[in-house]
Amino acid sequence: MVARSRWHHAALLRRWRAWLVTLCALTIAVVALAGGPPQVTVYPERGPCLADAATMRRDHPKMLHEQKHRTVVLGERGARVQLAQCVSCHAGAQSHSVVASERDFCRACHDYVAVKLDCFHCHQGTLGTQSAWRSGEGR
Amino acid sequence: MAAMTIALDHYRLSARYWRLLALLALFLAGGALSFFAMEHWGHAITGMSNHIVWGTPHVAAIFLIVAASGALNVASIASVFERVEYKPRAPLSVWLSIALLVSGLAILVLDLGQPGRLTVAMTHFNFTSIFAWNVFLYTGLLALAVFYLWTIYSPFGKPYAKAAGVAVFLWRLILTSGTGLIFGFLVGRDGYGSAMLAPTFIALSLAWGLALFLLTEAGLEAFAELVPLTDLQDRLRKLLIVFVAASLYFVVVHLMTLAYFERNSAFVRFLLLKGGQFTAVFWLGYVAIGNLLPLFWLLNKRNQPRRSMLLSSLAVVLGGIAFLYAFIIGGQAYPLQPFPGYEVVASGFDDGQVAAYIPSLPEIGLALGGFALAVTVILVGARVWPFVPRRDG
Amino acid sequence: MNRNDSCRDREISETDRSRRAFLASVATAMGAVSLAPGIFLMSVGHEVAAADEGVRRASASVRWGLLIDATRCRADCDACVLACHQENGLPLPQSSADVRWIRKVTLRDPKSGAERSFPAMCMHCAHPPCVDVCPTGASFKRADGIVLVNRHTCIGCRYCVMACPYKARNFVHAPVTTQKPEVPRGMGCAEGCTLCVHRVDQGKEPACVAACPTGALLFGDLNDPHSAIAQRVRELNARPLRSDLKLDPGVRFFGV
Repeated sequence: MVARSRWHHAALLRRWRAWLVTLCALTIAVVALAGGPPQVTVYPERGPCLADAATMRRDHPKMLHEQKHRTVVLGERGARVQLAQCVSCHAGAQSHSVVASERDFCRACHDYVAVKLDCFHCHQGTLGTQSAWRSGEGR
Repeated sequence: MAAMTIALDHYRLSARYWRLLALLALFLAGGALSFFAMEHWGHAITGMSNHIVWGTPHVAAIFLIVAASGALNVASIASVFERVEYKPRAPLSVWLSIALLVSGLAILVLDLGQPGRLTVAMTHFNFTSIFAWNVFLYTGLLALAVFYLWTIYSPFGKPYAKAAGVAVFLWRLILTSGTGLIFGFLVGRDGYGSAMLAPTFIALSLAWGLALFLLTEAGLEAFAELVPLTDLQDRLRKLLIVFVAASLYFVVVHLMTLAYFERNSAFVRFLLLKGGQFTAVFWLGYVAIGNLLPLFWLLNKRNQPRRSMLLSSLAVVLGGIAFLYAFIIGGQAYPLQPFPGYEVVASGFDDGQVAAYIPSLPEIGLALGGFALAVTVILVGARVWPFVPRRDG
Repeated sequence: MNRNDSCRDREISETDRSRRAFLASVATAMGAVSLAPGIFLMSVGHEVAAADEGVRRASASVRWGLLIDATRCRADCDACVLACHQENGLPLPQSSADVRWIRKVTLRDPKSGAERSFPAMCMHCAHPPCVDVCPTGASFKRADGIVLVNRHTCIGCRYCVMACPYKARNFVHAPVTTQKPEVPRGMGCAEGCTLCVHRVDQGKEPACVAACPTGALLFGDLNDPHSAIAQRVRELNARPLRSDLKLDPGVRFFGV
């Protein structure tokens, strides 16, 4: 009786594990079928980025966060980190934007990781009226 | 007075209770819908503009926040002034205050241009701003009120009850001063800019809070089908008379202060005589309904005392909302004076013109949602904790 | 509270003084050799930050200001207003919910009947009420006196709009998509004239000043006694609007 009960218990446990494994496998399958991390196009001909891709992927929020205070409050100009520069290098060839279409550089990743992209609520994410700081052209 | 013991009771479940909650859910949904609409399309869909940036939601929010301070009257009388006969009513008084404060703040936050940045408001402080101070005053009152409730209910809390009561009392006076000084510390607008607004708001809070307390207690009694408690009726009636009269006095003194200074006297003329809807709301809503009617009802002893007190309370509440409408929105509708001494011939921004304002559906929805939230918090709280005083035996 | 502000400025400028003197000599030496002429020009209003060579910051030794000469302004002209809207990507206003960073007003003196026309905008006060009342510090005064809104910390409470006596602050009531890259702005924040800070930092005048056909607007450093604006302000005894409020505006008027 006791042994049988124990066996029964173990079987249940095994079945529970099986369910868990199945669930994980299914989740992975769904994610894999959904396409995995987005493929974004980069344009090497537009010049080098501030750092390698892994560093940028990890640190760009920190870089932007630190620079925004220095630019807005301290009035720093000509800084290394500039959002407008991000846009002009990473804008899609067709959309001319980093946020207009689902496949655009900033939006693709932020959609994928479900992190709210608040920059382009105020900043212009689409090229067209761009007058780059770097060129220093004046009227 | 006949000897009587008073016990505290939970609010009793009844079909009425659920019907009322369902009705409130409707208003809450309306408030939520208004919020999402304003969040999506911006404040352009409201009656607010760059002339009138604080509209109906602010009238409702400031009414609730000011009344929240006054709702503590009964608790303060019980604790600070040690009148034991008020003690059974203290928990409801504190809980009403919490409900009103939370609801008023909810409206304010949901009306922000960036409601998602509440964390910014909680982590970045500019201490020259009375608004930043208010963040601490409001959250501080909530914490103190919860602590005070604990001292009332917990056997371990008893030794701290008096201290908590005094702390709450002092804190709420400072809090209401802070709310009045949101307007008192504005240099550019002729209707505000006076330290008189601090005591004025305290006096208004005493009247509005007591009126709301009386209505809440009567409402809970009616819905729980309890026999109304009339032991303190005459004293509360007299108290309401004093508070209404005192608040009217302070409002009159504030307006006289403005009228005495030539630069601001035009605003008083505007509010009292030429302000269109604001003049009408001030005289009819605030003076007539908010003051004369309740004073008449309360002072006339031939009236049925309970009914006249509740009707008066309702009138005081409506009058309070009318006052804030005329004061906040009327104060902005009256034009700023960047060019004193000149007549404006033409302006790209309506200089010198009285601004138009019509409350919009989203604003009213948000305001009503706030009031519904207050009632919901009271009802749910009264179900969970024993707040309702009833005659024992 | 205002006194504290100026104290803070003074502290910064004092601690920075020796460093700035050193940097100035370094910059002079290096300037001719390696720095672009554009950057050299910039050092008029911007000091070079120590940490990062070539990065310039707003300097507390400068007080940017405007002189508006109403005797030269024409009532039928709104070139400054159009230039402002174009430069900053602001749609032309149609309702009272739309923003105006600059507006034209025409006033009549009731005693003499004389009429005056001039533009009005943010006065860039030394003691700005909008900065005093802002709960998060989003409304702030830059070291060079330009009053701005940091949209990253603005929560949209509109207390600054309530506080400004000049009707110069606006609230963005509707979604924005037409931003200029150098002028980020969006729904739900307060904003006002930036004195074209993005142009000023490049060594240029604000757009309204550049567009004025009659020379009624003059831009420059009020702190520098030899600047054109400081000399004209002295000559004309140009005064601010609402001087009774003692806010020390950086925008001065003549003929009002």
